[in-house]
Amino acid sequence: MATLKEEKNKKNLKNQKSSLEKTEMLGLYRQMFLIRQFELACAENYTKGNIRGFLHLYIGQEATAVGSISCLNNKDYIVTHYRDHGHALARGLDVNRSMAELFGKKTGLSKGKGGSMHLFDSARKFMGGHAIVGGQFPLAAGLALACQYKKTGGVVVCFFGDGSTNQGTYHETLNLASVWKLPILFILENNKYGMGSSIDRVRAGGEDFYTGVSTYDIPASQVNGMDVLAVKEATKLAIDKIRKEGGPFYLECKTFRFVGHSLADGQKYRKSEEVKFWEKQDPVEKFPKWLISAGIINQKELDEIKQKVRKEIQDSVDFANSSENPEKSEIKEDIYEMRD
Amino acid sequence: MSEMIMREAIKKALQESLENDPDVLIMGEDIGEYGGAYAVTDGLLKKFGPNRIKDTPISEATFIGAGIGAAAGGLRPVVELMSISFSLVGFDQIVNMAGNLRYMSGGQISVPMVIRAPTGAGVQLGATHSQSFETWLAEVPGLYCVCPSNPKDALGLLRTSIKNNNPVIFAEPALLYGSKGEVPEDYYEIPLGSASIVKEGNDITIMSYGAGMSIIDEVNQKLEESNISVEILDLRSLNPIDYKTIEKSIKKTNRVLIVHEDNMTNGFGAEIAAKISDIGFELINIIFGHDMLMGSKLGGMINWSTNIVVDPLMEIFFPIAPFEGLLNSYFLPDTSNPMGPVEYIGSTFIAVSLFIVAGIVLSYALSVAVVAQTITIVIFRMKTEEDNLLERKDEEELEIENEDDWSFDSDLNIKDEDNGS
Repeated sequence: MATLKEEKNKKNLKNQKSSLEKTEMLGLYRQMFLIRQFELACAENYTKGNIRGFLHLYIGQEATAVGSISCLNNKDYIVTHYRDHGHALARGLDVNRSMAELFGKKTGLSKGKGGSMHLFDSARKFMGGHAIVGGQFPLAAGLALACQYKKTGGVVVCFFGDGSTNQGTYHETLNLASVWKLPILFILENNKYGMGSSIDRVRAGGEDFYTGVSTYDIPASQVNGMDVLAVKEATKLAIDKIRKEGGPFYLECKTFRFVGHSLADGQKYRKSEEVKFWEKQDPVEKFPKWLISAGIINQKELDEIKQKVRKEIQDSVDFANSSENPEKSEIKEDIYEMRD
Repeated sequence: MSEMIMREAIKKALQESLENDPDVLIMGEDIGEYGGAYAVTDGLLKKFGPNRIKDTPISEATFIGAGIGAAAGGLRPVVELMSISFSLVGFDQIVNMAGNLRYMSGGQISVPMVIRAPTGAGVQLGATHSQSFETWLAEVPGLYCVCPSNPKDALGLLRTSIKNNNPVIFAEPALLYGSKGEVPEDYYEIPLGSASIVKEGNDITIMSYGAGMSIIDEVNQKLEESNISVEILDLRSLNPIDYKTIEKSIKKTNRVLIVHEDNMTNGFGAEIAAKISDIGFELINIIFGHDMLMGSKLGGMINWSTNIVVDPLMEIFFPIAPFEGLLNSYFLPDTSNPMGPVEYIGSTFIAVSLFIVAGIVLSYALSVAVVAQTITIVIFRMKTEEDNLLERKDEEELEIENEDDWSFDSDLNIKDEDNGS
């Protein structure tokens, strides 16, 4: 029979654990809501002409980035595709500087030289959005090689879309990662469309991708990418396996973007019923409802988070708006390191 | 000084780097167990082990990209391509990753890596393996590009390339792997972007890089027989180009011959020619093209002869006697010369001082088994008082012609009047 002290300790521990869980849960929600608000602000400023170029929004896919990136530590690298705002914010990149980068301002993460599709923050080992589809795979392999060679214990998370799986670099990198036992977590964000091409029209092998990876002798699993807790759990298992046993892992997240490929997309290639079906699973709506019904948070706490995030986003837009444009001479800088 | 062949010099630089810097590793197809397609890395696997000498699958895009990622992650990889033609398979990685990462990240990411690749024609490999893509890669911002012609430069340049914090394309002329040369015993490095003055001279500057240098040697010997004093430049680096050394030399000699192994259209020599014209010289015309077939059994350029370059050079630059009155004498080349295009140039200019650019140009023959090379000579000259007078005269004539052409204007006037009435 446990002593009173032991029971008290146990209760304290449980409280601590649930309090930790609550903080974590709130954190997950806050990040998803932050990404959603950021994207909405981007769309607004794109129509205002403050943001130019291509703008690919992450709306609908928030649970994938937030759930998976929450499992990483500061030794781990992230490499991603051009729909990269969500991953950047989930990794904790500065919101102001991210927005300023989209505005092409001097205060942007890359001094305005990367733009929407190429967000970088080497201090957070966020090694870029990459806009040549499939181009990021070999880079991820190389970063993983560096982790392995230097024995840092770091893992590289490589995000990619279903469209990129038809590139040669996808297959080549899966093979190389398996042969060299590289610590890479491949995260497929299967949103069913490569731009306007449904996977039904461009892929042989059915709607599931993770089953095909056994060819490369890589362990793989699939998860509901609209469920942030499920993604987090699946990622945690994968990362633990990589850290413990070495070698790559492949995680397929089934997800959906609620908006067009870019803001120029009229979405003629899909039916509105399909979009509505997926919108019912919106993680930014469903997750907080569950948090309240499970008694983890109350409406007031939720509203406070929303209010703070909205202000944070408004501040980032103000910051970007009031930032200076880069000097013209900047166009010739950062091409080489130390060259006369 | 000790004698060394090119292959050994490159290997020496690799071996030193592996010994001195634990972050250096080598990756490529069959560089380990097999010892390298051109045997450059032979024996390194035994000495440094599979962690540092990494055989890769035949996936150029991915292992080039993996080199880039490893460099971005803090290593200093040297990636070997079996042929520079295979760079095409990994071009996205080389250009968009190696070349653009630093810029697009606003200077956050460095890519300290070297991509080594055999380059050039002349070893009986057909078109797909006989190209010179260092000249394509030389125009990519963010990349350095070097191409040594001898063991000494290969060793010195590779040492510097591996230490450089930027991606470096290191093109190795496949024809020259077995060529010998003197190499200093003491440690030395050669900065990227520096041309070498192989030989000083006063009458003509002849420049090239890589395999082109061996052609220059032959041309030089012939010209020396006629007491012409040749200054020879080995560019060594295609990006950056050492324009300071080029400018100093051509301002002394006033005549230029550029030899490049590249395509005629948009070839690398045109870049230098353009720059030369930019610093005060005027392009006259391309006057001469010559195809050299690279035959099957001979494995080389079967109808190549130095006279292909030397004859028109002598014809144009040194028509009577090389040291007598060239700068103040007019001449017309012999129109019975079998080199047709020379006739053409003879009729289009009055020689004062001329500049020639010659290119050894790779183009495709229709036959699969044969690759043709073309020599092209482009002529430059400096503008003189004579020219200015002629130009003024031309302009005056043009004005007179315009005055004569009154009927055209009056037709218009009539039309206008018609419209008005």
